[in-house]
Amino acid sequence: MNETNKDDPHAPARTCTHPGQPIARAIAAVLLVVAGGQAWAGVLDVMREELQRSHAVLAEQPAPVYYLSYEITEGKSMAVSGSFGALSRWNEGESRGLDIDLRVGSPELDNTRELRSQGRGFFGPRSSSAPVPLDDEGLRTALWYRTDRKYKDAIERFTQVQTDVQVNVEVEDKAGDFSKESKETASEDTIEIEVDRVAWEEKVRRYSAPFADSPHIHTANATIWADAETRWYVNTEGSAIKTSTAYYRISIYAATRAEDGMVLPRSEQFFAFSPEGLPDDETVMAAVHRMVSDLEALREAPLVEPYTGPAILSGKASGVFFHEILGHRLEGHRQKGADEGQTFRGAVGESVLPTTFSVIFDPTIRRIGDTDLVGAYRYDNEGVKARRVPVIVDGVLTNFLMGRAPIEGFPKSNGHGRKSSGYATVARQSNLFVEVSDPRSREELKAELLALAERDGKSFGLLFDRIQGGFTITGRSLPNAFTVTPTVVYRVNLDGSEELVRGVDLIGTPLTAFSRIVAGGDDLQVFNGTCGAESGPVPVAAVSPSILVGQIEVQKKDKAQTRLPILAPPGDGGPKSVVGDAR
Amino acid sequence: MTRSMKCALLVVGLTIGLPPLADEVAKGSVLMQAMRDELARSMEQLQLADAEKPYFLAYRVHETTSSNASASLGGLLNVSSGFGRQLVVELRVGDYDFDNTNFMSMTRPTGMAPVVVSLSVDDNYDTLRRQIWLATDTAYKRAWDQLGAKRAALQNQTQVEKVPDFSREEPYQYDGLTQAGLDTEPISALAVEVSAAMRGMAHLSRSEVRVGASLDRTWFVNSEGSEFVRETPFVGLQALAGSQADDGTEIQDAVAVRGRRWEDLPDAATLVDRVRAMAGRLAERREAPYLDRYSGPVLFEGQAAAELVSQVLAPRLISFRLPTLDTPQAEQLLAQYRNPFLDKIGSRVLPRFLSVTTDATLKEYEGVPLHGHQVVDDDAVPTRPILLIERGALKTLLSTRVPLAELPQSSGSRWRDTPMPSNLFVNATRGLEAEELNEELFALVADFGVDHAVVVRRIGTRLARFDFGAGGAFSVGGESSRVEPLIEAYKVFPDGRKELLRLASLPTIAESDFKDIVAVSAATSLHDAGFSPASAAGMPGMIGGPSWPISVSTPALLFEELTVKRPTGSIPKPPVTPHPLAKTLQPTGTGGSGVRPDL
Repeated sequence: MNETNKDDPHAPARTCTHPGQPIARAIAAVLLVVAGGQAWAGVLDVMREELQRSHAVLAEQPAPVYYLSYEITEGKSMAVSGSFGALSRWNEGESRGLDIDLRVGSPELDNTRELRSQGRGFFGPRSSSAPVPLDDEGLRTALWYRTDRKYKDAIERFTQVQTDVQVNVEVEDKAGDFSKESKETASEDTIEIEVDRVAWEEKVRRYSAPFADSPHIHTANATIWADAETRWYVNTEGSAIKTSTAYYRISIYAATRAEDGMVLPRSEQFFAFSPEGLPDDETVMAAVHRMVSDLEALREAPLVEPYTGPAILSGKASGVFFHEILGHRLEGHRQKGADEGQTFRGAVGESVLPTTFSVIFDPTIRRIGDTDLVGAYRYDNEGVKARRVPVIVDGVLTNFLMGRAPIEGFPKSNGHGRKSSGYATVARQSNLFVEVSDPRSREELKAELLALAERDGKSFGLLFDRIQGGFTITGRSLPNAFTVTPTVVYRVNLDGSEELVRGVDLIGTPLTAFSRIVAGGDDLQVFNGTCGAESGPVPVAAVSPSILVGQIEVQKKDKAQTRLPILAPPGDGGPKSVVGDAR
Repeated sequence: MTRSMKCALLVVGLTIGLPPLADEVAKGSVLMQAMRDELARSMEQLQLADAEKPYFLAYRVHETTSSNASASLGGLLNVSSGFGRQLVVELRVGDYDFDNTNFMSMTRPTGMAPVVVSLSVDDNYDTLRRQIWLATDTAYKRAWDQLGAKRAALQNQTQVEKVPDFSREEPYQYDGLTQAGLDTEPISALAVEVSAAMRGMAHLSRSEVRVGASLDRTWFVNSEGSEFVRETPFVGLQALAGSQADDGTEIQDAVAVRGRRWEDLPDAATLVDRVRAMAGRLAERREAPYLDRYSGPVLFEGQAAAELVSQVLAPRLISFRLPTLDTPQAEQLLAQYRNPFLDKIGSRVLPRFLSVTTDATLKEYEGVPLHGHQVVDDDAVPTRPILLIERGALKTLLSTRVPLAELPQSSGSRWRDTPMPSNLFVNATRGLEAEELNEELFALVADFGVDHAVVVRRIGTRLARFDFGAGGAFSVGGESSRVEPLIEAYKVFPDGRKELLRLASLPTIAESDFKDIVAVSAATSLHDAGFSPASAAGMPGMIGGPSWPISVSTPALLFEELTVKRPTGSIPKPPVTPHPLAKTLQPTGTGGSGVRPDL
């Protein structure tokens, strides 16, 4: 075992995406490097000893603890941001947080059961991630103190659960609250990262500078961000796991505004597990220049009116499409939540996609082609080993994503219990793969698109090339719908010409959308992002070819009502006003 | 200097009639020049059709370099550092008498918030201009939107009291720019070292040491010709410890030190001694009895007197103008938060032998650095000594450029968005020597027919505490106490005996009780105290909002009659599992120097 406790400060700039939007829109950037520190052994040993000591006492109480786990997450990160060619800020830091899963009652009924009278709410129950030192006495004291607090909360809540069971109708899913899993042990070396902040500062200046050449671009940020996350995990089943992973990201975001006030964003993200995996400056700059030209073109692009008809979704757009429509609805706990839509609960064994389509979640794959997959991990947050989980095979639904909350017919975890530090674990997605057994070339897909448009009496089809992210609602109280937010959309006319358009989001409901998928392409693309849901932001990837959908629906994009800037950019030699009615 | 900067300078020089500066503030600063140029252009040209130009515009940039570390029992918890700039744009349309401010629409409550954006930390003139330009554009449109809503709402209302929206002040320039940097070297090591002093103490359920250093540099220009650059360096350490008595009562204590330079802080060895003494006090308090309920004379000494002034009296010494609302019902609700001291200007609020002044111009007092020192406030109004209470009578309140009928001008007291006291001095014309004060105390004891007095030496401070509900701070039941728990209080008997109390609260104290101070000590002492602007809104026991350090100099304060009691509400049960050290160590912490409280 080789563990480290560094004294060099490096920062955990939490991934940050809008928590309401499952695949995060633009992941915040990243490139990172962290400095090393002196070795200190024994974190897992101390955790295990203290866990056993507390459990021995708490298991003998009138409300006995039947399961206890500790997870310590150490984050170290650095972020450097630039805007319009100048440095905006830098931040670095490190933190260590403790999460405790403590259960009283029994695996059949325990304190974590959903209280139906309260509902879970979107963000779910947030546990207490408490700061802990990685030092023998300090760690023992923190574990003891927090465990006692957790126990008192647990027995109070278990009483509420028992009341909830008594006063409400019998639950539909009788699978219990917690699965039995095997003991796991593993230990990875702590990832050490070297930070060259000065070099990054120069890069973010360079990456953000071309946006200053456009008088119309009002927001431009380039961020290089890196995070090293080391986790120590022990539980009363004997598992003891240490994993360590580094995440490096470059994120570039820019936006302009059309004459009608519509904000038009473009973003690019690059991700890797090592700094060497990030693209070189030439590649990034090419993407930046493409963003500038896209934004200029988008300002002039015509608006699309609400439309239903055929469309091609690029691999990235399709990946987000599957993540939102399918992935969230296959998360195990959603099959039993009283407020959940449970779209696919009764569909196991049924055909939900064309027979040429299969969907697999696989956190064990770290790289495809030359792109690292951010949704990879070795163990989930419940100490269960990651594994490949085919959920749709030849169009037939076969499985769900499972943490340790069982559902009828699926009593065990398949290594998808995930969370961000400070949140309670639920089943979440990892790396999503869409596989097509009879892939079509780009030309074939386009020809089919035009044929479908013509058949339906449409003058064009749509091509969703680049997307920003998406979100979905899986509950019952609101329409069970999804939204994918594209940034670059083309109108494909019947003569084959492609015309950039703007102003629409892709919307729909899951079952209808799935029933309209026609074919897939041979051009795999990767979307690396951050997914926000009730267990916090977690990194996820989606790998998909382009897909052809027989009918999609688009709605008008939300639009700001603010006028363009009244004055011309400072130093601009052009007119003093860029709006007609300004003096 | 880039070409566009030169062009802009030329334009400004030719077209804008800003008052000439005697000596350019922050000469050569690219940031200041970018602010000046964009300000000049905006005042000259920023105008929508059928709308007027701004009549006032100010840019304030907060440039912050900071570094923080926390540690527990010798191990690091969190470390962070960063560097960034934030631009605050204050733009006013209309005129000084009636503008877009001091109004809140219940349908758009954020409309009155200033525009705040990140600004480049590189002194890149073109980028800075671009960012300032866009922020100003947003502020101008928001201001017009707000003014339109205000006019619409007021056309159906008759304002009883017409007070201008913005005071006129003389332009002022101040150049406080130095080449000072931030020394972050000691932070992590100091946090680790001091936190390690609490190792091996089984009576502590938790402990934490937080060390921070920051350098805040504020850059300011406005359209009236005011400019300044001001630097506020800060270093500080807080050592927090919590314990749980056998009955479950959670108690905590803290050591907090701060200054402008590392040299202002005690050395590590001294801090370790102080932390061990604090741990010792906690050990004693765990065993100490409660005081169920007491009404009678109470003497506040040293830090307790300073915190009492800061937590109860000082919030009433700042003015706070309530905005006009577009909903009369909501305005009536808001009216209850009006500072009652506004109606007491000229009236007696303290005994005649007490006066209170605030003086931000003082940098130190008897060799001790003062935390409230500032040359200029956030409106670019120079600070000055202010006599707030003279021989018991309230003379004025601290104010900003947002006038009230009673306070038409700024007192130079704006800190961020509220007036703030700076260095607060409670002065007495008639102070008693220690022995005389003691005699007075026990004379009152006899009058009240009780067998003891209560003496309070330390009160919990909002500058150093664990999070809410963590045993003590603000968890005094459902009472509306505005004061943190009493963490060092004694029953004192006429024969000289004294009994430490475990935990006590002042459930009913209010600023009106300060009139019942019957005697004070001749000697004064200076302490750091936490001032929370949020509580100044007049909400009793209001929780939340940042707390800023101020310096308070005060004599010991003897109140004729106050109620002191055990905090009400439930207390958690003791830990189920013994402390990890319980098998090997007995409760300790009573060793070390200065552990035993001594009156």
